[in-house]
Amino acid sequence: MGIPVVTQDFNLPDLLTVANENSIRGGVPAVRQVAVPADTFILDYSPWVPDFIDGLTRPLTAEEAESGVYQPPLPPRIAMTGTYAEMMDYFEGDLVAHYSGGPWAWMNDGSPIVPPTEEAVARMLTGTSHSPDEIIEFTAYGTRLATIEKIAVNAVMAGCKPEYMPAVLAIAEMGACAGYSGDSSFGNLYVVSGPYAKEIGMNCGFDFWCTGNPANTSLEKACQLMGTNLGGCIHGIRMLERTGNKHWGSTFAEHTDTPWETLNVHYGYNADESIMLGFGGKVEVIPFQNFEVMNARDLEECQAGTPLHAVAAFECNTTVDLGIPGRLLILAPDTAHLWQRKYPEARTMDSLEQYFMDNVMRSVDLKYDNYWWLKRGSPPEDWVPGTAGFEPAIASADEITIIVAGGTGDAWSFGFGCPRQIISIDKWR
Amino acid sequence: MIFNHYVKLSERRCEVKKKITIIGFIFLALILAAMPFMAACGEEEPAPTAPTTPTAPTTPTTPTTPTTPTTPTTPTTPTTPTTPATPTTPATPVTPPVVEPIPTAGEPVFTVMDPRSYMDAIPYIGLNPRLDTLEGKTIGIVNLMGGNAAALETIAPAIMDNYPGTEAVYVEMRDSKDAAQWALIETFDGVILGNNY
Repeated sequence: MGIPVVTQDFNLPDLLTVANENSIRGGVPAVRQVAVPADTFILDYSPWVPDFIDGLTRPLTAEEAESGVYQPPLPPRIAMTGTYAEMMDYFEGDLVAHYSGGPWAWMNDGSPIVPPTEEAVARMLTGTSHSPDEIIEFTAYGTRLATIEKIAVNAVMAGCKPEYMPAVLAIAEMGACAGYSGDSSFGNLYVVSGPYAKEIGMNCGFDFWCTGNPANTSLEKACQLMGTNLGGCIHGIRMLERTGNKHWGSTFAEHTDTPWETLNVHYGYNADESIMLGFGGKVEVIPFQNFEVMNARDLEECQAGTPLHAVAAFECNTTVDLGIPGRLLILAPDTAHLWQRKYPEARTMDSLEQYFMDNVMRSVDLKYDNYWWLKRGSPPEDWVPGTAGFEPAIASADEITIIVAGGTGDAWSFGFGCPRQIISIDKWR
Repeated sequence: MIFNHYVKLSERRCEVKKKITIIGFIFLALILAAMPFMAACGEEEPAPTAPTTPTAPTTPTTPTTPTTPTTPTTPTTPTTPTTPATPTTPATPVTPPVVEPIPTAGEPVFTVMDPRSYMDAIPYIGLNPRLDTLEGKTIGIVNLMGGNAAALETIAPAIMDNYPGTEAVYVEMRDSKDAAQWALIETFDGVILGNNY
């Protein structure tokens, strides 16, 4: 016999819905909730004590006591038959049903899609040797199961070509753009390293962040569609990110013109193997010269930056104690070569990573005054504010990713992305 | 004065328009009169173009040779002066415009596959039974993420004030994996769970 529980939730429809869904996934058909006003100025919950007590003592209804097996509805294999406009209406669904801020489309990304006919899906499946019945799990909102055929349906809708399927499957394996039910604004970013990028014609040069390259763009769209249709993301209902993130599946390739080893080799793969690096959660990149973090003494420093500029950039992230606050450094090929020639610390990718580990610092005094850190720790009793000094902010090279990409000329960008996943694309061929 | 000036200007424009219209009709009549003569002389006619078909107006935007004067886009009658029967470049082969029918009743129909994943069956365990009395019971107020503490801390005293014989304990979890705190929570008879940060 378990302990009776009643939860305190805020009286917001989206949060109450999420709480209900979580309880169903936990095997509880209807959790008892007391919804208090979502007002942080309310510092006294005693007016709601009778409701809490009622939740703990009122006998269960038959529905609440229900046990057995609940089978969530299974989607059909064939969705519908109709004209293009009718199909778009079907995939958009009831746009205004998103009461908490939408309207959002239910099964597409809000833009036109390619009709996922059986013939088109069959063609897409020729892009992988894996069985259409093989299953990949998506776990953002409980465990959802998707066959590779369903992944191919989403790839068709996104406009992918069959040869993109290994990359689509790698993105699926990493969870795609499913988001999460918290209130941060997490994103997803993917980087392809290895010969596969060239095989499918990905952009690693000028304007690699922009739309226009078929592979980069349709992979981004596939990531979004899979997050919604396979990961279970419903904006404003399950996913409650206050602002969302611009990097919602951004995908590009690493440039092979690098003074260092390419990323696949750097992370232990062979040069002829292709990998995908995926960054989820806290993802943000400040493009070249959009944000200057440190004084530049000449035009070269303006455009190419220096390792010390990157240190200054990385130090502006004061995140503590939230797993791995990964740092991203993106250098244009010319800039990477310049750094490698000019700065001893940039002779190798390993030495540059070590330089950042040794030089990116954070204030210990500020850490002792940091909300998130204080939730889990306490400053030493003998701490005198202003005297604690600094400590390294990067604990491991795994927190740094140095990527070479961009067009001719100098440019350096920085950003953050965590956690980082690295998986093989070749295994999905 | 100014008003009169504009009235006069307007009148003059009307007169000019009338003259242009009359000249146009005369020109048109001359062309119509010349057509049988040209045909009798065996002069090569340009390839037939869209203007003679009544359906052409429905596809006005797809001429393949927009610069040629022999392929007007939206003629309404074959007698319009914009369809000269004597093209200035009769030797140039004229490509008829590709007429793409605007889909109406013949619009393509797609049978499309469903893109959604599915969830496995979920074993329902039901809610835990409720308390039949509060007498002698201990209620834990568990702040799972540690936030909103000031408000959650007010629950325990309020319970003890309003339900004599009932204990209430506030627990703030800094680490959700703290085994000792979970062991404490399992000793409670009922739990009020706050999940704020």
